Formats: sequence, C-alpha cells, structure tokens
Amino acid sequence: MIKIFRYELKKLLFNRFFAALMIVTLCYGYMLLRGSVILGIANTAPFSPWSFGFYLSSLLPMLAAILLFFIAHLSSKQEKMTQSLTSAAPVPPGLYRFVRCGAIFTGVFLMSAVCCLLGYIFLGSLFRLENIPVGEWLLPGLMVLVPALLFTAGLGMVVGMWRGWAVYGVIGVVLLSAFLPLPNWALLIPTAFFMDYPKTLGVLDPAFSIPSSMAAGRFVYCVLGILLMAGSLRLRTQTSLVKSKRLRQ
Amino acid sequence: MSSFLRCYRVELHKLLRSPFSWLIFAVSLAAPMGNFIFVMGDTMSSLYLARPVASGAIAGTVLFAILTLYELDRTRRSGVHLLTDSAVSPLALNAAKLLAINTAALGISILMALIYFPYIYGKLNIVFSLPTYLGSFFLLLLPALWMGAIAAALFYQLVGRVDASFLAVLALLLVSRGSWFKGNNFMQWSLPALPALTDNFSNAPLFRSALYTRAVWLGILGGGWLLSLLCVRRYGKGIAGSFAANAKRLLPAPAAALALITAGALLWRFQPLFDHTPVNWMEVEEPDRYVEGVYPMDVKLDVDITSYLWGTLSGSAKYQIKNITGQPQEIYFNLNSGYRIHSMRIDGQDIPWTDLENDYINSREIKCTIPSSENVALEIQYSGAPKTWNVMQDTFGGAVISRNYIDLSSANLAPRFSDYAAEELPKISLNITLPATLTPVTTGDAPQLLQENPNGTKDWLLTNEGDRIMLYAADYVRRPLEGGGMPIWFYYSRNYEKQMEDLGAIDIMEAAVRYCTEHYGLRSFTEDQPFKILQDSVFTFGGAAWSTLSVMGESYFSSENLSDPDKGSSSAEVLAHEIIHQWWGLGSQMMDFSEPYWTDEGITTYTSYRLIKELRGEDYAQKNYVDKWQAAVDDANNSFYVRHPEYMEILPEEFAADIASTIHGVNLYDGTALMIKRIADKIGEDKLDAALSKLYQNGGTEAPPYISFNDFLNACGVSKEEFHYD
Repeated sequence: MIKIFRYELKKLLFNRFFAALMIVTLCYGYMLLRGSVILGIANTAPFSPWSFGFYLSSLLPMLAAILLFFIAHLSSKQEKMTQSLTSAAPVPPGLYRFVRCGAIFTGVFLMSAVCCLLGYIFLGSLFRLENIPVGEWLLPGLMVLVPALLFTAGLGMVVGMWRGWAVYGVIGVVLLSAFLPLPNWALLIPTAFFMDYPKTLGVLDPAFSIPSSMAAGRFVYCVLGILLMAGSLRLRTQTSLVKSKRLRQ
Repeated sequence: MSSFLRCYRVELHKLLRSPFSWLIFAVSLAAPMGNFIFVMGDTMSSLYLARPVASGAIAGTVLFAILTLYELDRTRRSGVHLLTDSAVSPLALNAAKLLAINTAALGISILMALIYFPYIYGKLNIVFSLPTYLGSFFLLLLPALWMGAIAAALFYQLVGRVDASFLAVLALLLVSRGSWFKGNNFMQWSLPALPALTDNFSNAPLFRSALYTRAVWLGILGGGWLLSLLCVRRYGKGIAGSFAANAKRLLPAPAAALALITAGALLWRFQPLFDHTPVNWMEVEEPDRYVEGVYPMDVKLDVDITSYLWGTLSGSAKYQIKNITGQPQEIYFNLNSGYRIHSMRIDGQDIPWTDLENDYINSREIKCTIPSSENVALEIQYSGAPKTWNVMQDTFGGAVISRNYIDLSSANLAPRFSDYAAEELPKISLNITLPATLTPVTTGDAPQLLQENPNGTKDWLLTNEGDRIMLYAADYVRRPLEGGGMPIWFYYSRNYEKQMEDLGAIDIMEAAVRYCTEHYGLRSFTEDQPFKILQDSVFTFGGAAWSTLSVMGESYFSSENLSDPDKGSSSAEVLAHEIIHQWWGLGSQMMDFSEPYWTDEGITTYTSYRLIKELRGEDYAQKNYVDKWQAAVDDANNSFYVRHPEYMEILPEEFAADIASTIHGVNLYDGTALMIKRIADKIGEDKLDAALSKLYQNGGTEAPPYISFNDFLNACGVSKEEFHYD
C-alpha cells in the first residue's frame, strides 16, 4: 500500500498540470500577500497568526478546487480504461482508490506548505525573518486547511463515485460557499472569521484563539470528511461486489 | 464553403438537440438572477440592469466555455474521432462547432433580453433607456459568451484536454478579475469595466470603451484561436507536426492569425480612451510654468462637436496675451491628452509648438514661444476626443461628449493657459452648438441663447471671468430653491420632473441652505451668477463644488436611495455635505500649513451632522454620524502600522503611501468632525456656532483669508493643549 501511495504521490508531484497549478496558486498567493495581507488583517501585524489564517483561507478555494480537480480526474475516461488492469491487482479497488485520493490530499497539502513558505519568505524579506512567528502559524494553518481539505476530499470522493463530472459541480459549491454569509462555526472557508473575530476580543494584537463553537465546527468538518471518505470506500466495495455478482450471474 | 455551411448547419442542429446544451442555456438564462457580481454604482440602472448583466456575462463566459469544450470533445469522447476526421476536416468541424455555439450565444442573449425586459422595465420605469438596455445585453453580455467559447476552443485545440482547457479559462478569468488587474480595463477580456450605469445621463464612455476592448480581445483571442486551429492534431502527429501539416493546407491562416493578434495588440498599445499618466503620479512634481508679466486677458473659444457617436470635437481658441517682459517668452498650455493641435498662429502667422506628451491627470502640456510685443493674439486650432485619466479607466470619471449629456471643463474643453498672475481676471467666452434638448449649465454667467437652428440645435454663448469654463449640458429642469434669501437654482434631470418633490430631496437641500444661512451667514450670489445645484452622472461617484456650482451624483436623488434605511445618513449627508461646501470650502476656507488634517472637509462633515440632528433627532444623528466617526477613528488608531510606525518605515513606499492615505482620509473627515463635536460639547453648540459665524464672516487672522486651526481654537476659546491632532 505504501508503495502505491509513494508511486501515486510521485506521479502527482511530477505531473505537469500539478506544476502549472502550483505556479498559478503561488502567483495568487503572492497577489494576496502584496494586496491584503501586507496591510495586516483586523489591525494585527501582517505576520500575525490572524493575518496568516486569512492568507490561507483566501487560498483555500483554489486549493480545494485543485484537490477536487485531481479527484475528478480519477473518474475520467482514461482512468476507467486502465481500471481493467488495476482491478486485476491484489488490492481491493476501493482501497486502491482511497490510497490514490490520499496521495492527492497529500500533494495538495504539500502545495499548501509551499504557499506557507512563500508567505514566510515574502513577509520575512520585508520584516526580517526573525520577526516572523512561524510557530504561531501552525494552529491557524491546521485549523484552516485540515477540516476544509478533509471535507472537500470526502465529498469529492463520494460524488466522484456517483458521477465523475459531478465533482466539477462540487468545485462550484465550494467556491460559492466562500461567498455565503454563514456563521463562523459553519464556515468551510473561514476568511470572514479571521477578518472579524480578532476585533471582537477587545484587545489589540490578541493571541490566536478560536471560540469553542468554531472549534466544534472545524471538528465536525473533519469527522464528516473522514466519514465521507470511509463511506466512499464502502460504496466502492459494495459497487464492486454488485458488479462481480452480476458478472457471476 | 458550401460544405462548411452544411457542416455548420448540422452542428447547429445537433447543438440544439443536445440536452446538455439546453442545460447550459437554461443556467445561462437564470444566471442574471444570481446578481453575484458587485457593481459600485447605486443608480436604478446599476442595481437592476448592470448587476444582472454582469452576473450573466461572467457566468455565461464559464458556461459557454464548458459547452464549447463539451462539443469539441464530443467525437474524441465517443471514440469516433478517427472516423469523423476521415470524413470531415477536423479544422472545418471545429470552426463550424464554434460558429454554431456562438450563434446559440446570440440566440440566448436575444432571449435573455426579451425575458428580462418586463422586470427591468418595471423596475427602472421613468429612467428606462432602450439604448442602454440594448448596449448592456449586446455589448457587455453577448461578447462575454463569445469570448468564453473562443478562449475555451483556443486552449482545447492547443492542449487537446478538456480539464486543462477548462482550468486555463478559469485561471484566465480569475487573473483578469483579480485584484492585480482590477483597475486595468484592457485586461478585462470577459466583461469590461462596469462600475455603474447612469439613469439620466450618458453611458457613452462606458459603451465606447466596451466596444473598443471587445475589438482588442476579439483580435487577440480570434488570432490565437486561428493559430490554435492549426494545432488540431492530425495524422497521429504532435502539435508541431500537425501545425506544419495544417498550415500547408491552409496557407493564409497563419498570416491571418498573426494579423489579427497584431491588430489587437496595436489597438491596445495605441488606445485612444485613456491617457498615459505615470503609475507613480502622486510622486510627479508638477513643473513651475509661472512667468511674471505674461498673462491672458481675453479668451474666445469656438467649439464644434463633430461626432456625438464617437465623442469628438474640434475647436479654435483665441487668446489675447499680455507680455510686459519685453522679451520673447515660452508659454505653456494644458490640454486634454486626447486632443491634437493642428496649428498655432500669431497675427495670422504659423508658429512652431511642441507637444510635451507628458500626460498627467488627463492632460498634457503644449509649449510655444510668443514674441516680445506687449499684446499678442494667439490662435490655436485643435480637435480630437477627450481621454480619461488612466487611473479612472474602471470608473469612467472625466469628460463626456454624447447626444444627451456633455461634461467638458477646463482643459477638456480647450487649451488652458498655465500658471499666471494678473491684476484682473481674464474674460472667457465660449460659442457652442448643442442639441436643442440640452440645457447648458456653467460656473459663469447665465448662458445666452444666440439662435435656434432648423436642424434641431441651438447656438449658445457662455461667458465667465477667469481662463476656464466648466460646461455641463443635459436635459435639465431648472427649479428655484427657497431658503436663505439668495438666488438658488436646482438643475435636475427631466426624468424626475414629476417625482422630485415626493422624493424629499428638495426638502433636504432647502434645509441645508437655510441652516447654513441662519448659522453662518449669506453667500454672495447674484441674479447674474446664482448658486447652482446640479444633478450629475453617477460616474462622478460622489459630489463636488466649484465657484457657484454644486454638483451631486444622480443616485442621491433616486427614490431607492433616499428611502433606503440601511444607508442611514449617507445619501442625505452627501446632499447636505456638498451644499454646505458652498459655505465651508468656497465661501470661506479652512487651511493650516502645520495641521494637514485641518481642512474644509472636517467642518463640513460636522455641519452635516448638526443639520441632520436638527432634521431627524439626536439619537439618529448620534448613531449615524458620531458613532461612525468614532468607529472609523478607533479603527485607524488601532491599525498595526499606526501603533508600530517602525514597521511602516520598512514597508515599500507604495504600501506605506496606501496606508497613510487611508489614515489621512479618516482624520480629514471623521477625526476633525469628532474633535469639533468634542469642542461643542465643552463650550456648547451655540457658542461654537457663534464662533464659526464670526470666522465665516471675517476670515482668519493667522494666514488671512484662510481660517487656521489656531484661529478656530481661539474663536472657540479653547487651547491646543486640550484639543489637538494626535
């Protein structure tokens, strides 16, 4: 399994579309850093965890779209043509697909890490590297990326099981959700949270914290994402069983 | 050709029978209802026409890109491309498919225009304009669908993959709409800048610009598409091999493609719409052109509008110039960058001149040398279409020439003599012919109608003291305003003739005039030069005041705006604010070289608050004015860079300037108004009013006639230690 994972990850990282999308994402990240982040979000420093969270949240729609794009690719015609070969391997097809999705998830996570590095270099070059509190970035980074990407991947996998092209619809839904006026705890893309919440804390330059409702919301997204992924695995196994039963009949 | 037409008919037929096509058509038709694209303006046309059209255009770009990719990939997807390629040239097939899709886009746009007509007509009602409606659907929306289809076809033919092509179109769209190119109209390949649509005046600059940028992108994308068509894979070859094989069979295509791309690029490079003011225009130091002893005495302008469609004019400007230096002198004129000088003559003799091509805020300098004689008669012939300042290329603020609206002022109208000082102001006159429906309004004397022409035009003579004239002309109704015992004329669009009284705008304006007259004193307007309040196009984005003229955006007068409870004070404030500027700003001026925030804006903002407090009560004024000022000031003071100026110092200049300008704006308006309010709380409003009235009547003493911050504090009897800017 690890071998397959490594192979799929390597295939993804050396894919020219992945490289092109990485460049596009980095350009977008640079625009965000130059345009909004540099001004400091919610009156905090441009290198504060709040501004960093805003930066990642603003990148999130693009990262989620890329994740879904590669998941949709798993259901493409070309992939289906190779299915007769891959299904002959001694690995359950559902698990194989799960590992591939895992590789995509890891690839997009690595892309996010490169974006973080870009932020670090950009802000460090302006405000000196020693002033950048990288350690404080960890919590907002995980809080923004993990729930949203897990949920998006899970949803993409389940929808992709049904119809490959419908994953593009999920891209639309994810992008649309960025514009919906939802309460903070329900935000998949929490840009508004980073813009507004620090101002409600009543102190200047507040330390990074999240309200319990928000934490619960992020947790629910994580759980939903994992459940959806597990569901897609089961769905796949059942579909395969039905197919094999039909074949036997 | 006939086989191509046959192919086109088959493809169109197939397209119209495909359920997927109809799904795309249905979503495209519904897209304008989404209203998800923000449009800055708040006129009725902006809210109920521009926003749906913008949403339809952006969604349509994506949807028609999807449809194009779906159709182009159809044979490959079905695995029959080898068969179809042998029966029909894939180049012809792809071209026919794109043409069929673009035909469908035309049909959908027509259908959309018909379906939405009753709703939009009902909403716009008295301000509905058919040309604006048709322009919106067929210049803004329809080409967006075409561009989406062409761009998708271009990428697909290059890379042969649906997913990559779709992402490329999306990326191109996101980049063009993103913050990087936000202010660049020419980068908007899908939907040109659409900041607003005027209800009552002219959208001509916006539509001209849309037409021009469409032509640019049609050239670039069309040429790119033609080149990519040659890359359609054939005979099992790769991109280069297929290109060579296809180009051999279709010899003129590469040349035509390059010609199209070049045409698009040239149109872009030599665009006639916006000037070339440098990006760092704020840092440009304006040269000192003052020559002592050289000044204009008399200026006669003859301006002829040569095309209302393209917004062009030609003119002749005659100057009587006094030169008491006894030396030949170099003199400079400022002229809108869109005009070209044809000749300069002194006493009938051509003289050389130099166009410095130093564009700066929509004008450039023209240099010439006048002889040593004391009285010089200089005549300048010029023509062209006025350009807009490039910073405003996405908001269209600037000169307008159209059949139903004209906004020409100063260097947008004629060459303007550079810096000079004269004992007596020169006299300026303008002869201009305007459509009979337009009423001219100027900063100067009352316009004189010279004659009515049989071709439905009128000749006007406009005069003023000074070297410039601000000319506005539209189908205005003129109404006197009561209050203050001085002549006040309010000019507003004839569209509102029946409804203006009901809107409450008249009451607010009369209240502002009455308040200022009662509290500060009379303005010296005469019957010859009355105070004029003018309703102006939404593209003014706010208001302005010069001399005897107060100009306000049209949206402040719309029923929607004046009755919107969410807007709280904003529309009423702007109405009042611009009128109050007639007292603070034109009647009397606040200025202090050591206190950059002490300007007319703060006192005008405070006076607006007092007026609204009188009209709507203390709670309302506190909530909508004082609390908002406090919030803005707190926000500015809490800004990271204000609290940590050491970081501001290491920021690149452009960012630092941006932040400084935001903070400056807050202090100018909210900070100063808040300080005046605090002074009023301490000494009492009556005492403050008495102090302001005295200052208004007598002017300041520290740097007369300006009222300095110290003058104000002294008049109020408070000290700088108690009240100061941080």
